[in-house]
Parts: sequence; structure tokens; C-alpha cells
Amino acid sequence: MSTASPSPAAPYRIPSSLALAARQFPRHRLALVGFVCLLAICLAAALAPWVAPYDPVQIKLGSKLKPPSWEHWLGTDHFGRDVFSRLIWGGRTSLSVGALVVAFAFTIGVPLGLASGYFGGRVDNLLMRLVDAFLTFPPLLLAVALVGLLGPDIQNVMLAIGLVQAPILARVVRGSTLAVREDVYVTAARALGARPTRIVLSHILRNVMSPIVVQLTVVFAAAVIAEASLSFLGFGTQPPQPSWGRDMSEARRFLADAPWMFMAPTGIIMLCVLSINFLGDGLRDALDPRAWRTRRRLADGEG
Amino acid sequence: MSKLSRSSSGQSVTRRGFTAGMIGSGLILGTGRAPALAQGRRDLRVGVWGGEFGNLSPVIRFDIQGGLVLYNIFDNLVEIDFAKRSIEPMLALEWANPDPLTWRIKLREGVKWQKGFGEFTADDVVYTWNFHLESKSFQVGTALFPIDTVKADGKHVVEVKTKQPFGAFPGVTMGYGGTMISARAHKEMGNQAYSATPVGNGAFQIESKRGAEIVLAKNPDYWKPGLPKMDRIVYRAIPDSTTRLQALLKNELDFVTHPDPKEVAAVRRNANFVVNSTPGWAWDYQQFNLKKPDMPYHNKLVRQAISYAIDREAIVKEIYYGEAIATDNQIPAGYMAFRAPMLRYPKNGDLKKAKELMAQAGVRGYEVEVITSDKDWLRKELELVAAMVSQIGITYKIKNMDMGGYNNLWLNQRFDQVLEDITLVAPDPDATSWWFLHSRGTASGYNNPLMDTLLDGARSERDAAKREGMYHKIVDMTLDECPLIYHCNTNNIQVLNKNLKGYNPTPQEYLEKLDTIEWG
Amino acid sequence: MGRYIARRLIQVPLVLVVVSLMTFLITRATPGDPVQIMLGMQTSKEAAEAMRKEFNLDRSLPEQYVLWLGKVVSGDLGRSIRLNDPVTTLLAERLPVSLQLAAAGMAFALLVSIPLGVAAALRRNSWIDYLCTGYTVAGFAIPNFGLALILIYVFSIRLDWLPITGIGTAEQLSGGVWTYVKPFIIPAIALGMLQTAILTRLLRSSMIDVLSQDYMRTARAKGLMPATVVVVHALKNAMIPFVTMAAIQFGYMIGIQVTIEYIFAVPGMGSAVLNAVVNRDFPVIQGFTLVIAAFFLFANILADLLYALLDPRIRY
Repeated sequence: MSTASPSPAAPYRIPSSLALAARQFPRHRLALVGFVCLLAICLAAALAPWVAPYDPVQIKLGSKLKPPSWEHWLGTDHFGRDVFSRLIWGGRTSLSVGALVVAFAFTIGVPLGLASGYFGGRVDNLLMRLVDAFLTFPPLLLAVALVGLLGPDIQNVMLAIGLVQAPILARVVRGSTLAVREDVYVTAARALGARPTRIVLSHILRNVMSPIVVQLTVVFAAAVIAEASLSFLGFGTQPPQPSWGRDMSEARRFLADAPWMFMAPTGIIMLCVLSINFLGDGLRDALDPRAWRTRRRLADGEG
Repeated sequence: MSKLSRSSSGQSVTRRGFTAGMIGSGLILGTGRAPALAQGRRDLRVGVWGGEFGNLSPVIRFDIQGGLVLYNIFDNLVEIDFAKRSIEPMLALEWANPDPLTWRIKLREGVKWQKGFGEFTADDVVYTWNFHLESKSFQVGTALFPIDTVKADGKHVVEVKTKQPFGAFPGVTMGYGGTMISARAHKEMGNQAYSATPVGNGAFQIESKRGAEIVLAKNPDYWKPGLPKMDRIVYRAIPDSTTRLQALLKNELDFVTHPDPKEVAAVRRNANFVVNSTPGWAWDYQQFNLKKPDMPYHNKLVRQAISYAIDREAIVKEIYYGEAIATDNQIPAGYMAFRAPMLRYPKNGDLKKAKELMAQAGVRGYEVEVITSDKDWLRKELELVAAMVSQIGITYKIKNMDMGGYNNLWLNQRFDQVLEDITLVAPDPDATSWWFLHSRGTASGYNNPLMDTLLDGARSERDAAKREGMYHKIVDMTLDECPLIYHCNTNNIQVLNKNLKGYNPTPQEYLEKLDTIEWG
Repeated sequence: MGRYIARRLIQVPLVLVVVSLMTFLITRATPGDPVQIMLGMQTSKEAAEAMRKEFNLDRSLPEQYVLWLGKVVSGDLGRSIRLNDPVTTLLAERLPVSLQLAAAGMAFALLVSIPLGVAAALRRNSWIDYLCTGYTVAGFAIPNFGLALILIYVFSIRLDWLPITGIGTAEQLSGGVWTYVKPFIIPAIALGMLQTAILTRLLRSSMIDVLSQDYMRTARAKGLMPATVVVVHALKNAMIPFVTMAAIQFGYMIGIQVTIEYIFAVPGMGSAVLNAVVNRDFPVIQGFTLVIAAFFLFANILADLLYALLDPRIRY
């Protein structure tokens, strides 16, 4: 993580940082591309009923396994359903899993991390051991166990993935909080007798926001892939609801006769995760002024 | 175990040493079990559906992959001649019925238990059936329930007193109830250890069992002269049907069960492999939980509407790629009481009629949770069936369960509706009807006194013609009442290396006996 | 240093207790009864009770947990309800398979990431740098099971070069070196792809960091060191975070194999846990997660140790 030593310039940087970031962000070309792609995918999913040319669920055996054409841009699957429409509707599943996992991780991980980092000592030790324990669980197995034991529901899928991701976020937040805890403005606020909650919420949180935002993009990408993996193993989304991962696992039987069935969901998962990664990189650079300097020095096009 | 491994363990130890070196850690490397080395002739490598191998004892529930192995370790009291669809003696040579409530069973002499556990005698039969009765095992519910007492009369005769006349007795022992365990081995090893690596009396004995792999070796004391042909069979449980078949096509296996039916046509064109696709004693069906109150499907018109909404031919074509036969009842061709045609409901369904029935029932459409287990073909079928019934306003909320979750709901009758398949071992209409339709047998809570009377009557009736008439009535009632909705009889499919000779295809998945198979 | 490691080691059992407590609660708080699954519907109450007693499932939850924990301390992880074998026996079968697969995946990751990362750092903004970027980016984005299926399709089915199954079979262990190695190739690539991406990216950026240090630039500018020496010196420094990350990732790989194990029919730890979950085989779930967690913890401690050993500036 890029939040090492507290910068003395921090206090008077705050007001303009968002504006600066907003100006910096579009210069990161890949991040912009990622942002646009992700926006397009999200919009398509949100507007699925209007955007998708066909019903994603209705089975039409007469037109099964049709290759891509003007009628069916990405072909049809083994039940004659339009692959393009299923991608759009499947995006609803994957992206809402991603979004809700992000929300879950944020609500659980951020308070834990802030408390742990700010109060330190016993609280920190206890919380971090708990986080350690969660992190030692193999993520996919924990998810399989939870979904298997609780039953195959989309809520359980989200819960399972969220439980894996929240502790990671907590740890990131803790690290950043530790770094800003002793900053001048925080010690000043403390000396003035501000209540801890106020200090944490109004001073620390806004200063650790950038690593949080960056980490949330990682969480989002991980959630999309985890949902796909769970669905592939048969523990995820239930049919007939379209899901990128389940469509991939269905399509493997048709890899030879209908490769479009496999390529389409695989491609969209890759595009989605790539876009999120680019976006995350862009955000990191935009939100962390130290990276601007580094960037200039290295003249580095790293993605 | 060690006294059994009779292979080149010296070599295997060095290989294991090499493996240890490769991963840079000397820890935990198995217990020097013998590898499946070819000794002159190549071992048979069989890929079966499922996860790791669990219980192998016939007196405890087992799963498909266990059943496949089990019938090569144990011989049964009787066997089926699949061509004649008749019950033939195997370990029980004669079944005498001196009075309606007594059966005297004469056993074959000179049959030995594997691994030096002595001769197979009447005491083993008494022990096994008493074990079932005492533990109230699940076979008691299906096959052995009429037994009152069992006793040995000398070394090779068993005398069974039944509580009611039970003409179907020899036939039903074709199933789980007629597989005997060794009294001595079971007592010495304990139930748990015995179920892990049982001692049988069949053509093969367990050499090693390790996770997803079981190695069977030829039983040197087997009673049938000249059998088995193979020295060793390596079974591997491979959960993914695509992987399993691909492994065969790449000669990583020689014999696979349950291939993806989609690939069967292509494999048939491949001269290096042989496909056996035998019309099977297996049914795909929907079942309703009629104990659950206030469900619209309590109205039989709704159930009939669902049956009319099902395009059975589409299921056969899209899910099984033609490797199945559409049916709407429980008695397939070749069984006693079979009447052509297989289908009384239209093969492609009749949506107009289905909608009429729904209207007649006054049901406008509803949502219901439908569960199925972890078989990939059933999951696809359910998706297709859900689309079919959605046309008459019924929404199936699909829950694909894992085996544990499924059993939890099914065994405790906490489901609304299931799509499942069942394989039956006995070629008798009693086996395909009683358990599913009798108020004391069914998981569906179907309770119809008239049906019960018919089923019980048909079960104890000894006159074949009268019995046949009763089953006709039972089928007619099933079709009218629809407590179960049958979709099709699925074929039992195996794909073999073309160099394998002597395999007798069977219509059902549990009885794949490999004693006669050999390299040609 | 010694004290730091000692403190870390003391924490290991504590974390493991928390892990096991969580697994315990997850398994017991959710529906599904292993005895019922094992015995079936028609079984008698007495038979079920006897089996519950045998596995201590008739006791109260705290009792069950304490009994289990007490046995674990003495090295007994209990017995599988479904398979009857002791959990330690199952581990002895499964762990070596998983370790070999993880090692194969890591070997692939190292073989690719070191040359690619170094080359990309030395030739910035060249085609090889772009290749490196593209490769790592794809490695992050593709789910490993998707890559596995593509590789199978191309290299096993179309080209018929490599087998699909075979890991962990007796046949594999009784053959020659090639028989042993070839079933690992495709699964290792599919499994190691993400790690390859992580490691390549890390090595590239830490190489760039080292190369742009003032002293390195001076040395190169003045021609004090031949180019090869520069590379070797830079690599040595850049390897510190690299080795650390590789150790962490290795611990992690044991636990993420489940999809790969499913596709390639590998009898490893992941598929064992999967089967145990499906059959509600509590002792196996508990024992296996405990061991996987321990592996992860020790990999992390090993990473710290390596860091300290490689970099003389680090003092704990």
C-alpha cells in the first residue's frame, strides 16, 4: 500500500485534493478506458430490460446453437437463448454481487480497521487476530462451505464473498489509520478535547479514503471472479437467472461446436475485471499526490 | 491390507521417494500401497461418476460410485438374466415356498469369503438379515419388511418365516437386501471398518482404497471357474462428466460410466471406442410433497396440467440427446404388466389442454420451490422443465442442492417439489410402484386408501394374470392422480475401449459386473 | 529477531483456535445432519443415536468443541463420518497431492515471472514491456477455471499433447519422470497464472525501483560496473520483496485449488473439503481447514524470516 509515512503537507492539501484528483484522473488513459467500459457494462445491466434484444430466460429450441449473426450478435446457446442478452442480464447478477460485497466489506471492514488503527493496544490486537483468522481461511473454500451449508441463495453467495473480503479491507484501513493517527491535525484535535468518534470520522476517515477506494476496486474484481467460480462449481446463482460463471460452465460442453457460448462470458468477465483494475490504478495515482511526482520522475506507463 | 498387496512394491517405494524429493518435503507420503502396475496384461481403468468413494458396505446406504464397485466385490443371492428379464440363482440355488408364510432357501456350497474369512454359510445370511432388521436399515423399508424370523437349518439352508405371503421375495432380494456380509469379518472388523473396506464373496477384492481411487484385485478363491478375467481394476471417481469422457478418449481410462449423452453420437463414430447404451431401469420424475398444506398442486387437475405441459420428447432430445425413452408411467417395456404404448400423455405435451386444466382447477399460476440434487443432467433438465411449466403460469424456483442439502430437505420432507431420478434393481412392477405410491412407503405423503389396497393386493397375489390386471389399474390411477410425473427412462451408458471384450451391458447403473471383461 | 519470530509463533495457536471455532460454529449452526445423510431415511432412531454417540454429536456444542480441541492437541483430528478413516490418514493422502500441485503452479510462476519481469524492467516501453503488461493484466482478469478449460481444449483435445487427468493416481506414481510430470503441466499453468501476474508485476516494479536508485545510476553512468553486474546486483535487491511474496503466495495456493481440482479430477485438499461440505462430514471440514490455515500462517512467517535473512537492513 502506498500510504507510508505521514506527509507534513497533509493538512493544507485536503481542500483541493479532490479537485486535483479529478483533474489528474483523465490523464491516466487506461483508467479512463476502464471507467468508460465499466460504466457501459453497468448501464447495460441496469437498463437490461430495454437494452437486451431478447428474453434471456425463454427457451427457444428451434434456434439453438446459432453462431453470431445480425439477429444474435453473440450467437445463441444450447437452449436457443440469445447469448448477448444473457450477458447483459448476467451482468446484473455479477455486478450486484460485486456492489453488495463492496458495501458489505465497507460497512464491516472500515469501522473495524478504523477502530483497530486508532485505538491500538488490546482492541487492535484482538481485532487483528480475528482478521488473521479470517484471512487464513482459503477464500473459495470458505465461500463453498458457507453456501453449501446455508443453501444456494444469492444472498448467501454475497455473504460468503463479503466475509472473505471485509477483513482484507479492515487490514488496509488499519494500516492507513496508523499512518495518519499521529499527524499534526489529529493530535491537535485530540489536544482540543474532540471526542474519538469525531476525530475518527472527520479527520482520519477522509484521509484514509484513498486507499479504501482503491482497495474497494480490488474487492469488486475479486467478488466478480468469486461469484463466477462458485457458480462454476454449482454453488452460486440458481438457474434460470443468467450468471457469467454458470454460463461459462454450461458452455464448456459446447466448446467445440459453439465456442461463442464460452468466449462471450469469459470475455466479459475479463473485460470487467480489467476495467476495474485500470480504474483502481488510475484512482490510486489520482488520489495519491506522491504518485504524481513518482510518475513524472519515472515517466512510467505502467498499467 | 499389507498381506494383500502382491505387487512390485519395491519400485513404488523408490518412485514415492522421488516424488518426495520433487516437492522438497519429506513429509506424509502414504503408506506404501501397491500401485496399479501392469503385470503382463494391462489393468482395467474405470472412470465413474461422483466424488471420493465412501461407504462400501451393502448394509448401509451407499452412493452411485460405491454401488458400481460394490457389485464386483459381492455376489448376490440371485442374479438377473437381462436378456430374459428373469431372476436366476446365484448364491441361493433353490427357493422353496412350502407354505405361504415360509421360505426355505438352499445356498450354494463351496463359496468362500475373501481374505481368508472362511466359507459362506447360512449363518452369514441369518446374520445379515438380522442386522438389517435390528438396525431397521433402509432395505427393511423396501425389500425385507415381511420377514418375521430368520434361522439357519444346517450349514446351507436358511429358513425364513414371513408375516404375510410374499411371492416377490426372491425377486426383491435382487436389490440391496440380497447382498450378504461376512458375519465373522463384520464382527471382527466392526461396522465402520467393514464399510470402508468390506470383505466380500465376489469376483474381486479390495486391494487399496485411497480418496478417489479404489484398486480391486482378482479374488483367487472365486467360486466361478475361470473368472474373473482381469487381474486388477482401478476405479477412479471423476465428478465432471466432460473430464471423465475426455480422459477416456485420450486413453487415460478404458471404461467410463455416465458419459455426457451429448457426446455419445460423436463417440459412436470413433472406431476406437464402443458405446453401450441400454434402455435403462431408471426414471426421471417430478414428485410433490403432498403433506405440505395449502399448495396449489394438491389439486390433481394442477398436477395433470403440469404433466400435459411437459414436452417429454424435448427432454429426451435436448437433455439426453436421444439416449432415453419418453414415458409417463412406472412400468417399462419388458416388465410384467407393461402395456404399449409407453405414453398416454402426448409426447410433445398439450399446452391448450394444460391451460384448460389450470382454468378448470381455478388456479391462475403460482410460484413453487423445486429442488434437485447434484447430477448435472438433472439440473439441466429442471431448467428446461421450468421453462415448460412457465407457459401455464407456474414458476419453478430452482434450487440446485448439493447432496447434503438435498438429503436434508428430502429425508425430512421439507421440500415442496423435487425432480429426481431413481434406478431400480428388481425387474418387478412392485419395486417400481409400491415404494412411490403406498402411503407407508412414499416420501411424497401421497395417501390414497384405494391405491394402498391395490398395491398390497398386487404384492401378495400369486396368480400372474390377476396380478397383471392389478398393475394395469395402478398405472391408470397413477396417470390420473399424478402423485409423480414421469418424464423418461434414461439409458444406462458406458463407453469402452474397443479392445475390451466380454462385457455384458446392463440396463441399470449399479450392476456393472466386470468379471467377464477382458482384453481382446 | 528471535523474539519477534517467537512472538509470531506463539500467536499461531491462538489464530488457529479462532479459525477452528469459526469452522465449528459454521458447520454446527447450519442445516444438514451427517448421520442422517449417512444412514438414510428408513434408519431407526436407535441406529442414528448410536452413530451420533460414536461421533460425540449427541453432546452439547461447547462439550463437542472442547472434546475435539483436546484431541487435536494430542494430534488426533478425529475420524471422517462418511469415509470412516481418521482425518490424519485422509490428510496424508491429500496433502502431498495439493503440495505437489501448488509446487508445480509456483514453479510455472517462477519460470515465467523472473525472466519476464527482469526483461520488462530493463527494456522499459519496449515490446517486451508491453507483452509483460498485457500478460500480467490478463493473468489478473481471467478466472483460473476459464483458463483451464481453454488450455484443455487447445493442448489436450485439439493438439493431443498433454493429458487431462492423472494427478494423484497410482499409475502416475509408478511411471517414469515424464509420466509423473505431464499431468501437472496444464493444471499448473491454470493455477499459477494469477501468481505469475502478481510476481511479474512485483519484480518489474522493484527492479525499476532499484535501477533508478541514485547510486545505481551513478555507477552505470560512470561505467563503474559492467552491465551484467548491474543486472545481477539489481536483481539481488529486487528479489527481496519477490521471494517474500512468492512464499506468501505459495501458502495461499494450497487453498485456492478447488476449481482446478474439480476440472482435472485431482484428489487434493480442495476437493476433499468440497466433498466433506456436500456430505456434512464435520471432522473432515474442521481438520482440513485447520491444516490449510496453519499452512498459510507458516508461509507468512516464513516470508518474514526470508525478508529478514535476505535484507540485512531489516531488524525486528
